[in-house]
Amino acid sequence: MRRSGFVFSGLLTLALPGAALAWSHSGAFGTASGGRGSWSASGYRGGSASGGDGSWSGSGFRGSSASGGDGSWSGTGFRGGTASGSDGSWSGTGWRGGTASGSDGSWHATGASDGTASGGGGYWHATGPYGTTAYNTTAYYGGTYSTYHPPAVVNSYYGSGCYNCGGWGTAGAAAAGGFLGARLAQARAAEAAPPQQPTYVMGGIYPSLPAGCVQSSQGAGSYYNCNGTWFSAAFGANGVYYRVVSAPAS
Amino acid sequence: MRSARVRSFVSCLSFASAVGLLGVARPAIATEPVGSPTAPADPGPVVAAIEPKALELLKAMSARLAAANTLSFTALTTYESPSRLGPPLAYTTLSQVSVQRPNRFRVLTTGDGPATEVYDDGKTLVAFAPAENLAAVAAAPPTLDGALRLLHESAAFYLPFTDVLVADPYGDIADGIEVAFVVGQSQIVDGTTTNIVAFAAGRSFQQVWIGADDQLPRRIRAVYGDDPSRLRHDLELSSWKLDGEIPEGAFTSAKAAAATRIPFERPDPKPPGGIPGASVEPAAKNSQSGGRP
Repeated sequence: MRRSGFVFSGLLTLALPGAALAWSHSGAFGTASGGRGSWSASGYRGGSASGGDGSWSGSGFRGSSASGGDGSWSGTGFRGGTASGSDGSWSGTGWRGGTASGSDGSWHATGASDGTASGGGGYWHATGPYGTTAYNTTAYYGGTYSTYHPPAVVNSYYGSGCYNCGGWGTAGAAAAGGFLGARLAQARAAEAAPPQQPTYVMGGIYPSLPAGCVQSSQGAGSYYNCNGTWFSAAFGANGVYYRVVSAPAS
Repeated sequence: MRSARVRSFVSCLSFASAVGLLGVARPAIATEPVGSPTAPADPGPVVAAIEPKALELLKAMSARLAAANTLSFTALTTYESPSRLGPPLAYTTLSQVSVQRPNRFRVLTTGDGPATEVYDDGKTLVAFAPAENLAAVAAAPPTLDGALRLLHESAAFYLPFTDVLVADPYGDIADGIEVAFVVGQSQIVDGTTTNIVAFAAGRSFQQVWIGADDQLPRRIRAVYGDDPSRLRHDLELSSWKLDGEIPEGAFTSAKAAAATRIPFERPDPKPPGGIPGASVEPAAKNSQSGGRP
């Protein structure tokens, strides 16, 4: 991907000087030609670029493409990620499903695993896939008691678990991102999908342990081996929680 | 930071102003003939003032709490947290609180949410999860204020009634106070007459119902300026008992002492460089008993 872009920009340097008159050039690594306000070029691996009348387009040898004109632009990566922008706003989607967008000095992003972040005007906040939230105010850590902090919401709060409750262990509190509509659409789209077994992520936080864990107290903590995944227990945010960790040194 | 605070409260007050506009417009619509457009009455500018009467009520509440050698009460906490759909859900916890000044306290959270027991006998600070039989233990700071701060800083453990427990409640409230006014009186809350005070201080906007006869807080609602969702936190305080007898053994627990030790540790993402004192390792004891939730 990066190499393709490099070839593309190198060819552009060749092409631009000949914009006023017809010209062409062929070398060991590609060809370029232009005239009467338009130009085109191709690299030896198959990448190509062209432009004229204030617009341009290009494609990389792996299938990535980009184009622009009249103050807008768009691009598609060879793995499926997309990005576009115009009139001071922009948006993008990663090939794994993460999204980002911005305009007027603010931005918002959602990771492939449901974490979100947004900011603007020197302020940002982020919510991880487990519901923990952070703000960039210096008072959050060690400030006065009047500072906001995330409450201890856990999925097992009312015993049986609540998949729409948010908080830890549900992979996705959704404080930001619109009122119901987008989330309901996502939910309906996923209705046909079979329920997934939880995937325990290194460093992830969970309100309870899966079945079949074996406790092991080592050093200054309590650890649990749950079918090969290790958890440590700690007391924080008004309750006990478990974090996925590397196997403790024995 | 101060300018950010002011902006925060201006937005709160703008909202209150908008609500006021609606309230004024309603009776005008009811009395005017249909089809006669009536401009809503101008409620006047927002008054960002500190009413002496409001401070007087807050000081009286603080003095009553600070003067008590022992106090106990029941705290019903309701707080909002975003659902996965976006709009918040409300969660409740029920806590039985006992305090013996200057440095002993016990908080037993028994209803809804994770059951927890916190003990501080002036020497040892223990946070115990009875269902899991796990306990975090640390040397107790010399004051109750210090213990609450240790819990907050090392484990993001925050008692919503902290401002009631500290040695100088008014000192906490008045720190950075920018707006304070009397809302009125209520006969509803906790079945008694209360004076209602609203104030903005630090990064919070709070409304407090204070007993007209005994100056004790009966209800506190708060929103926080650092929270972009403006989630609401509600605290109902009842069964007050001041200067009563508290049994000597109330501030320790044999079960907690025998539980498997775990550390105090914040679960939230750590900023670059870490947080000073963010994790407190457990004291020496390390039991193998129990521990499996």
